[in-house]
Amino acid sequence: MVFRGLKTWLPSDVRKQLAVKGKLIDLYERWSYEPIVVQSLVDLDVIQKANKKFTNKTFTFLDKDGETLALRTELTQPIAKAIAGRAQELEFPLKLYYNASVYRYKGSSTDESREIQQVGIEYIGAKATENYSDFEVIQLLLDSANELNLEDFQISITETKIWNKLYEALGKEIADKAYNYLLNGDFLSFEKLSDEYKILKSIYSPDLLMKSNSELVEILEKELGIDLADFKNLVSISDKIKFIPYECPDLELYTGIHFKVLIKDEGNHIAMGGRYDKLYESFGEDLPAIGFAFYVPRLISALANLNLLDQITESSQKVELKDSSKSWAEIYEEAKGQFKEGKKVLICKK
Amino acid sequence: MQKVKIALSKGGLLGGAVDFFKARGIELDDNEANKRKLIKKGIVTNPEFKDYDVEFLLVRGHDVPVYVEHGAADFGIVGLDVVLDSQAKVHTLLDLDYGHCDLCVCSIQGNYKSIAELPSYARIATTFPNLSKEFFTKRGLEVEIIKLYGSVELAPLTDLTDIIIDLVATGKTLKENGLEPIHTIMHCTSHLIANPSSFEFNKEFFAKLQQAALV
Repeated sequence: MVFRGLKTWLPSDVRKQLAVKGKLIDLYERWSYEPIVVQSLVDLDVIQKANKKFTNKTFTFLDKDGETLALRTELTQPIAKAIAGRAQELEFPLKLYYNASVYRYKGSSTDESREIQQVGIEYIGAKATENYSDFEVIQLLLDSANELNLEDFQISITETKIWNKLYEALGKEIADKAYNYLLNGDFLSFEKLSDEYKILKSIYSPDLLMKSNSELVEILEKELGIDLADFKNLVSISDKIKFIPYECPDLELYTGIHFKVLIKDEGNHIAMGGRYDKLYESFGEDLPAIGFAFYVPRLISALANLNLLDQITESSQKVELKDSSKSWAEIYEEAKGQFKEGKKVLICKK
Repeated sequence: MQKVKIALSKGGLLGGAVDFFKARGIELDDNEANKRKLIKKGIVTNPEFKDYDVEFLLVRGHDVPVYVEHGAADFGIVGLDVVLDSQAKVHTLLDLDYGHCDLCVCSIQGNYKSIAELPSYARIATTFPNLSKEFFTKRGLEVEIIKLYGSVELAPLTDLTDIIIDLVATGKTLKENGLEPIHTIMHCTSHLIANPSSFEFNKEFFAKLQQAALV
């Protein structure tokens, strides 16, 4: 029987994954992020408490005590639970990176994979304006792309403040309608709604499509009466950052900036993240946090399409040692000599 | 040059899509040598699009959202019925106001006059299984949906199903096969759709398409 969405990676694929993940991990190490490993099995409660949208994508199990366990659908929530539980013995801000898989019952519509490798970071215990934390995280995304020699990419970014203000101004029913239209890509219905509720035209109208980041910030500050000064500084650090006011962040999770990394000619984003200052409250701690995750298979597929994988996947030279009349000790000495020169060894037939 | 790939629905809707782009200064290169090719160049006659290398992909209507959702095409033109039934994660950007038709519940003439008259567990043939399921689920009716890929009118005539759900433009094909619409589910026209990620890299192209229309 062949199960949907299951994949085995052969050595040539794994070599590429290791090379790409290694580049990212080296970068995060340079910025003093520390590795963390959390268990694959979590309480179902961890997933439900933090982000309900994954509930229907979660593999669940009943253990012998009748407790419901789940395979993690994200790394952020189990890390939050683990860190919140030991917050008293840790020093903050805490900077962590992970290299692990998440499991989803239903893949996305364009990728059925049920196990998805992710590499990402969590910056815990610093508010947006403290320690340049938002700047550092966005810079890390830019540097991650540079490490992988990506050129035609974009960081699409928005601020949850915008939707919070729209909910306040329009009320839940209308704001929900507007949010869901955009979330589902129904720009036509959104435009019709915005003819009635003009304030919506400040986040999407065809006239806004060619506006620069700073022009969009000015329009939103004026129309919504919100202060986006810090955000304006953040989006100006690189021309790869594009402010997308009509983006729909998950408002249950995100509390500040929210972003996605897109690559030209790739149909889907390769990384996503944002600020979630309230997440730790659901685990009993008041710790602001920000983070992101790269979806490794999507990233590798994009790098392959751009012919960038070979540059990243450097392999050391392999030396063949023939099976001969030499003793094992002699062969082993010979192998050690090759290792010292940085070469790989393969013992093969005469 | 920035490459833009646009998936167009072959068949009845193609002419309207070709006219839409022609009116904006991008013509589909359809000379004799290319007649059977499924990828056709766009010949730019409007200087506004001189920096774009436009390519048209000619695909089956139901495949347009698939090409766009996966990013194999940046934009697509297809009926709203097909977009909604596909449940593809795409941006729906423009109603192109051609290809007008209705998605209807149709019965053999005189068999059923309304939805209320349908038997329990009615069998329904359609090329729109998701829209059909949604329509009956909302009404709390349990039905059996049989997905077909064409000539749906044949299904009730051969007792495969009780009724059909299909697009009705003039109603001529229905009439010739002894069928009639008994309920309109929705009105449909051709729409411009985009891959959400590609849209971010091609917003200028989209804005120019709209501006060219205004001129």
